[in-house]
Amino acid sequence: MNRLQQNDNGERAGHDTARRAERPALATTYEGGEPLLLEQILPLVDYLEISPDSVSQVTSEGCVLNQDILAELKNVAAAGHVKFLVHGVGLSIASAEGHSETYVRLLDEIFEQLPVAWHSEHLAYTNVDGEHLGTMLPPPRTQEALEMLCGRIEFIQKRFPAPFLLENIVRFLPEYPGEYSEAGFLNQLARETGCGFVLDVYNLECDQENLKFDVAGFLRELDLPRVREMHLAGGVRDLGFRLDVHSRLTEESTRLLARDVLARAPNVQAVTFEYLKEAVPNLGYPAICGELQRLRENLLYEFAG
Amino acid sequence: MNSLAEYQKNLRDLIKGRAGPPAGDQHLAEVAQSPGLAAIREIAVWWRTLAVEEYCPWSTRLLRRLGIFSETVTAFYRGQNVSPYVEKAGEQFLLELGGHAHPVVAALAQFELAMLKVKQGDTREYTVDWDRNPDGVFACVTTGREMPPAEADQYKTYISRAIPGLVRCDRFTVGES
Repeated sequence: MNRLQQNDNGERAGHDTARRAERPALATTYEGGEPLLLEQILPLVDYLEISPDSVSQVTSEGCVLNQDILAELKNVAAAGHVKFLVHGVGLSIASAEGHSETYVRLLDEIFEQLPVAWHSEHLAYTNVDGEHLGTMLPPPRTQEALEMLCGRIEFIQKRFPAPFLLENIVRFLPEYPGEYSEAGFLNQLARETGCGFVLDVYNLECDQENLKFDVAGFLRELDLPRVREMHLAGGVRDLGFRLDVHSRLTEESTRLLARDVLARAPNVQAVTFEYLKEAVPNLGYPAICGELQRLRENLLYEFAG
Repeated sequence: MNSLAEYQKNLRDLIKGRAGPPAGDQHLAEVAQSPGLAAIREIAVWWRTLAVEEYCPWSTRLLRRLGIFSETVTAFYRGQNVSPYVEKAGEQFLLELGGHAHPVVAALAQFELAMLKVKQGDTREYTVDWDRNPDGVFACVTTGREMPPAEADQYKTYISRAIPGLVRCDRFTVGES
């Protein structure tokens, strides 16, 4: 019998599955302005992942939420279809100069207007000395960075009434010889602030392929009960690297790694399939919906309570 | 590492191609030699390219016709503090192009920016000078026709909400007052 099928008694036939209160929910990206896509994905998911950076725009009043997209999201919320997982790009929590105040103002507005289950940000910086890098870099894992980050996380936790999670990013550059391992740094941040983790398993695969990162060792060391959300995506290989461009459906290896994590991380509440808005025309709505269906049936059903 | 702030500034300058690694900094010297640095630069430029293509379609087409699109976007990324927001980045790009040495690139960028502003509700009137007939320039970027040559006559376009169709064009013979 396929390990994902139920046995004759209606019990799940999984193995080594973490004991959890309930099956993880399914989430996916939505950046607004595609009502036909929204209509098709809503019946398939429990949460929508929105990024403040993607649902905002620059106007004469500065950077504000796009009112058309906000209205669309409020309609979804009012219909009771889903809640939102807010996933940021622009907080730049690891910038030495300070986090982005613009991003925090956007979050203020989102929390006022939409039901947010929890929110998250990449453990990274995008701004240096007032300048946007155009990319995302991880902080060096030093005591100085750790103390700075703890202060920022506590600020965010006090300001917003929802759990805050940090996500591992893809790395391309040689590691700064810091004082903590990758998992050790995350664990220490969580111990000191109570924050949780978004574990992006596709990013782990990229790191493994690009930098020979020891994913198994990382997962052994990481405080897995802190993982509340898991991200899955697909990308491409280019420039000599496996890139986190979120332009494809997931590969089998990614789903297998996700299954492994789910079996060991008992508090994962949502699995999010991420894709770029720019990739939607190439992917097509049926493929996105098919991916969501496949993840629900082949990944999440195994981990029912 | 001297400090987190200094480390991040040095890394930024490496990524933007503005400076090499500081003397004696082994880690940043390793970063400077790494294939990952080139990849990060390319990825950053790729994102800026998407923003420019979305916000500045006319200038994008012209630069592609002239075979200088990639190098122009790369120079834009390295030289400027490019906003992560498409609208702002697009505006920054057009502002920079407005001073381009190629007169048609400069004129078209000024025109494209003026059109965007007026369509967004800006009540000012903008003027753009051309060294050739702008109709021919638009035919070049939209239909692939040859770029018209520079003329002895000059053209001035006026862009304003007060003008029916938003644009008016006058032709001047040089020396004419």
